[in-house]
Amino acid sequence: MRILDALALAKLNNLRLDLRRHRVDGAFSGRHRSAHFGFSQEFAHHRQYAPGDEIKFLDWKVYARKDRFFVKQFQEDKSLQTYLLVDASGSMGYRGAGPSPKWDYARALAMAMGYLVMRQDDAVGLVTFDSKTRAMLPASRKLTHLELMDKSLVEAKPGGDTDLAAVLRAAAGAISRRALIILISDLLGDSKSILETVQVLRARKNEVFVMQVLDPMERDLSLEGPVRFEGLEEAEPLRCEVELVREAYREEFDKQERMYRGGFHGAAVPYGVFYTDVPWDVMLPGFLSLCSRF
Amino acid sequence: MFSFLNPGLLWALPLASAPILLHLLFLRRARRVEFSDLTLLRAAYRRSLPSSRLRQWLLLAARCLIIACLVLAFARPLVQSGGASGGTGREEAVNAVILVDVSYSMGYETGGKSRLDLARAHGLAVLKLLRPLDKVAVGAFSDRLETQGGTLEWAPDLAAAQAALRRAQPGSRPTDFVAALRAGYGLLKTSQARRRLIVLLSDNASHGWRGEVGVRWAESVPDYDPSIQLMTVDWDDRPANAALLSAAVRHAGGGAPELSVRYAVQGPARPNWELSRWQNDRRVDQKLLNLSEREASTALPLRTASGEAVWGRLELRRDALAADDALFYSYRVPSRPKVLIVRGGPRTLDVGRGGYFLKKILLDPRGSLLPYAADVADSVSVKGLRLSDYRAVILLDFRSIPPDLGSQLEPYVRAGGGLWLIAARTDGPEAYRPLSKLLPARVGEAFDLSGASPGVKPDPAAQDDAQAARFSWRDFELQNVSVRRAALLEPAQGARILLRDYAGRPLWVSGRYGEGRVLVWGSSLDFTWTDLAVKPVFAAWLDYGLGLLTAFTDLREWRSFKVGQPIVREWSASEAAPAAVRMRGPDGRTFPLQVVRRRLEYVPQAPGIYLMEGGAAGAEEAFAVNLDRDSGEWDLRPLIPSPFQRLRPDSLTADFLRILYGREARDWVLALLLFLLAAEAWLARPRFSMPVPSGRATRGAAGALAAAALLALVPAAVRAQEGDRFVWTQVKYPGDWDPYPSVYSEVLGFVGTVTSILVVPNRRSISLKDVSLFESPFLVLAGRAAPPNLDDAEIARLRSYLTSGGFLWLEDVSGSRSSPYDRWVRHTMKLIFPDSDLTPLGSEHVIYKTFFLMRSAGGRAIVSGSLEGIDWGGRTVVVYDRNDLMGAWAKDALGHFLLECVPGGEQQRMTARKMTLNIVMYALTGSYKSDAVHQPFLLEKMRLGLTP
Repeated sequence: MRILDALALAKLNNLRLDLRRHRVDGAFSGRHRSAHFGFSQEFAHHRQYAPGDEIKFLDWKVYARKDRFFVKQFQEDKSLQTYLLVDASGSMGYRGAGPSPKWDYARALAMAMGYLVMRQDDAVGLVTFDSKTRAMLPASRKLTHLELMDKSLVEAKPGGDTDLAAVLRAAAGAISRRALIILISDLLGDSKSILETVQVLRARKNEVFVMQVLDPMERDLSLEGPVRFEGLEEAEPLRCEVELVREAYREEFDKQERMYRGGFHGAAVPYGVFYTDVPWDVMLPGFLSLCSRF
Repeated sequence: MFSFLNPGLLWALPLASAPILLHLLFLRRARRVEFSDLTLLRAAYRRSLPSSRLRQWLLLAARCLIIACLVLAFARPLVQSGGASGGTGREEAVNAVILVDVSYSMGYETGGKSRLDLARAHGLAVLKLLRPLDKVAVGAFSDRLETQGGTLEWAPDLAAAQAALRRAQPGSRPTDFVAALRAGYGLLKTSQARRRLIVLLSDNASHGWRGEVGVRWAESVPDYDPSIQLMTVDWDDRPANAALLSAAVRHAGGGAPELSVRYAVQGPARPNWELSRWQNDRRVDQKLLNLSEREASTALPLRTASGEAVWGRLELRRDALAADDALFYSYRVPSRPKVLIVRGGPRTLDVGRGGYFLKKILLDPRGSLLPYAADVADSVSVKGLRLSDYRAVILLDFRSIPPDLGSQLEPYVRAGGGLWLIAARTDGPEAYRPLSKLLPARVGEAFDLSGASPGVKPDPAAQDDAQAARFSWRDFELQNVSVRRAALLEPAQGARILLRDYAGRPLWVSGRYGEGRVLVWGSSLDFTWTDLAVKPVFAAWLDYGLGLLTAFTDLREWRSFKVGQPIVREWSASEAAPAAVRMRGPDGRTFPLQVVRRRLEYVPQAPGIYLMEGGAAGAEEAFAVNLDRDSGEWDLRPLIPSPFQRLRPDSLTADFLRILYGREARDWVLALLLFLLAAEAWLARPRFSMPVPSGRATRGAAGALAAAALLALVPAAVRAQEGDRFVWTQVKYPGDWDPYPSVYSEVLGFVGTVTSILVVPNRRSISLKDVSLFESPFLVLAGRAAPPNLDDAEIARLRSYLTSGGFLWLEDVSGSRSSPYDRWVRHTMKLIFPDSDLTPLGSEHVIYKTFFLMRSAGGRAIVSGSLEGIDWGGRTVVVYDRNDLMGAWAKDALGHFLLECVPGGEQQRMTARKMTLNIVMYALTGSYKSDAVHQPFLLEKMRLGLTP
């Protein structure tokens, strides 16, 4: 894998995507209420115990050997379908004050989330998009699928406009089952329609996580003097004195963030903001704990 | 509407566009910057347009206006008060009247120059400001116009006006502004020019207004026209002057005449100021005066016989205004009028009778107390006397008048003599029959007043008698004069009642007969009748009565005239009148004068003694001519407030132009300039804004202000905290200063995840001598081996750091009971805090509950049961852990815990992690938890349902 190195993977090993509380049609919620009662099913694999798991599935032999709790999982358990929606629009290629472009950050996050989900033995799919869906990998539980995702993300280059709302609607159509949708984007654009679309996804009983990737420059606008801003997505540049608009820009930015925060909170969507100046592995635990709280 | 004193400077007005040019010149080329998404930026740009764009334009406009105002201020704009048409206004003709005061008060000298000299110079300066087109009239004035023919006329050209101004000579007359202004207004009334003005060159003393000045001064000037500018040149000195006001001859006690001199001083007091009297060009007397009061008088003895002609001058020591320091006099010492006392009985004037006091006053051997000479006669001896030698006859205590005395008195009174009947002790109603034609009242029966209230009162009508000016009846206690018995007086037609008794009956009646006057006193002077004779009022009563009868005044004999007033000498029929006389003026020149119809008239122009020769018997007659002092000319105090527009001598030109062409608006322009400067400073003020890490932070104006204040106050603290984020600062020293290099990120990740503390992801490693030590409130010093010993500077710095708010976490990672690090710590801490020891932190210490509620500290290897710490100022500034809390955090590259926790295992590791967080929280919040100040807040929040 090119995006995640061994160190990152090692760090990820300490993290866990805890989805017990999420009522998804997958591994955890449907397990006991499935038509296939009991544990006569074919054993699939072990999974580390988490508080809340049924104690009767604990594998005591493994505990005796490893001094750690593991639960047995069976083939019949429905696995969660997770789709990573990664924004590959032009604005994601932006690099301002951060050490790397947002795109690099976003695909690292995508791979990390993918890895975490896959480690839960759940299926992961990948959708990269700008104004329309660019590439789509269907959800799969094979570990080799991770390699495919990695390849796809490495080959993708950010460019083109975003029409996040339209893409989300299209994705919602493509995703048949109730699924976990992890949206990784800078969420720049028409914030209202983005919110609405996320709410539509939620209304269709999907779980949605939103990870917003931003450059510190987009927050602080720490430039000086007269600047001719050229958008990465649109043609028409904007010329202005930064000092004059900085205050207003920050207020606008705050307003938008408040709106996202409020809107996503209202829709029970975990929402995390990732700035590229903070390494993703520092930020990820906080987000994951946020996810588990929802 | 506007005109300018320096219109040439207006060419600099295009300079006002300099800010625009500079703006265009230095317009920076915009950098090309790629930006992810312009949606927000566009919104912000649109939103900031109204305010920031307006601010920029206002700033530019303010800067342009500032320069324009500067140029305008130097160009000195004038605002036309007349509100007339535009143009600079200087091309129109000006009609000016220049009035020069040539009264004698203008002779006041300062610095060797008289005020008239200065006034002339001011006038010439004003004339220089006029152009040939302008019409000007120059008039000298005192209390009248001193021009040719007494009228004011336009000068043919400016040169003639200058010549007329130079011709103005100091005069000897007083000032009257009204007369001069009347002429000026009269002349300007006929002119059609839009700009008309009168320049008054005077000392502006208040005496020039003759007391008429006030807010309504203009009403006293005929033809007053408010559109005519009235200017005067100000004097900024405080004039001081002493003057002789008048001299009068009078009879002092004992009959010797003396000269009563009134003088006045204005300004500071002058001790020992000489006053000398000159008689016939010879100084005969000298006196030192203390001039301190505003007006006072003194007396100089006059050693001369009655009736003798005396002339000379009085001189006060010269001062700045010399003209009024000399006073000329010429008079004849008046002889005393003679009075005849005719007594009614042989004992009338004896001791014990009322007449005795009359004798004492008028017939005292040492001289009369009153300016009268008296003779005594009885009803027999009076027949041998020539009554025309006497100015008055007093009939005292006659029981009845002999008829021949009556017939002797009748022609005397008719020709102008005075008769005073002190009527009492009548023999009956017919006693005074021989005088009945003369008397102003019929004398009736005597009656007693004893029942009624005693005392007399003056008739109100008698009070205003000219003679009464010497005293007032009110000066005496007339109610104490007791009149017990009086004859009933029945005043005749035309008689005047002078005194009444308290019942209102007339007591003293005056009347006229022919040319003479007659008085009747209704009582006697005897004590059985009245005690008037022993009362103080008696002398005044007598003086009043005699004055009334003789019409005698001291002033009668003056040969004194004012400048401008004609000297008149008339020869009576008894004198031989010359056909011509020669008059010698004070300058020594002699000139002949014709006597027309026994009358000589000559109008003197200068003060002094005028000697007339060739009069009767060849004797010289002296006429004293003095300056008019009645107008108060000596008082040089300026009039405040002056009704004129004032020209200051040092800025005469500017003031003149300002008044003539309008009000100078420079002050307003400067005020506007100040305002613009303030506005510019406000608009261009720097906008403080800090990089705000959290989107939730308020960025309103108040926030910016607070941030600015914070920046100004504690810049170090702000930078140290990296905004409001927690910085892990670790001490770097030679040796193994970093036993677990990656633990900090683990701790920070835990802190960021578990708490709402914002953390800086990278740690700061500094030495104790680093400047940023004091910007790092949280300091970690970890070690296994002993660090090198600290030098004095480091100890001092560390002590200063800890005592001023810093927090130090000492971490012994050796995990052994006696490690070199432990020894170093105890040694060093003793150096830093000689008075405080490292003491175990008991379980009640707040560090066990700052975030997690803990019972023990945990750690990788339990060496000590508890943390240790040093308290300073109620705060634990040093926390020392020996159980290797950090070791419990250490992970390998794959994220597995590196070291095993003994003996507690994972439970102990968890405790250690929690304890680490508690230490961080303690460093950040102090005793916040134990104070429990947050509890009411939390409870309130829970009550409101804000917190799940």
